Amino acid sequence: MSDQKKQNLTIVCPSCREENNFAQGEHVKSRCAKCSASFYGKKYKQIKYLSAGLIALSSMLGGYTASEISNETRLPALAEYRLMNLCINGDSRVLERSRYSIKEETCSCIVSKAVEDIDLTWNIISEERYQKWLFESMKEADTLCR
Amino acid sequence: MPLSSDMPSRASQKEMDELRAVLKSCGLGLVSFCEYLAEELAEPGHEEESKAETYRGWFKKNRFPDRALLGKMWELLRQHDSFKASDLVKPQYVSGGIDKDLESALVELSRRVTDHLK
Repeated sequence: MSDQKKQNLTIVCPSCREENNFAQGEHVKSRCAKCSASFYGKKYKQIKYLSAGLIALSSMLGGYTASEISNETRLPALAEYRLMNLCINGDSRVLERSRYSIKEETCSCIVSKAVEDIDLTWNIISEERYQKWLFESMKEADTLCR
Repeated sequence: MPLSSDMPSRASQKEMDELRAVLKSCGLGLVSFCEYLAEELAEPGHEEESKAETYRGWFKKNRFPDRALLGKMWELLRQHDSFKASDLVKPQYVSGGIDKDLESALVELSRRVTDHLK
């Protein structure tokens, strides 16, 4: 993010999608400059875009390019599905239905924790070993999810 | 089951043992399963001819079907009422579409989770 952006507050109008920018210290208007819709009655929070780690993971899982998903806030559905599907069905050994259900729950936990871990720690991992680290991250989540 | 180029072309003893165990747990005898296979896999117009003996051969010691036939056996078993009525699930994963190394790592993870459940 540029220094100038860091000094600004941007509210995207919920009605017309217009970006309303306010400089630091400037009075923040309660209505959209374009359509005059009120900003009141809504809850605002910072949008958290995909981290570099999750963009790399998406690319390995679904062939997405960074430009395709850099404005996304979570892993693409196909990438998430592939992670879950591999964790649940990658091993084709027969299971009782009840154990299969437990495996689904365990994999859901593993994927959630690993994605969270990748998101938080990606910047300290070198690109050369990110694939190995991803697996380590999932193995660690496996232990935590039992 | 995931099929990849580094997999042996024939089913393993373990895979055949698993199939046998599932047939037993579903109350399906080897002979009747082989008759069912013979009927389902027969060429059109030859459904009445019994090829069951051929398929029984694949369950004999040290004779393993090729992987495609094993896949077909599972596919047909999944469609069988006895399997549907059982408490068993045979997971099925179709390989492809993702990074190969990542795929192998995640299959390994899937095995670890299963090992823990068994």
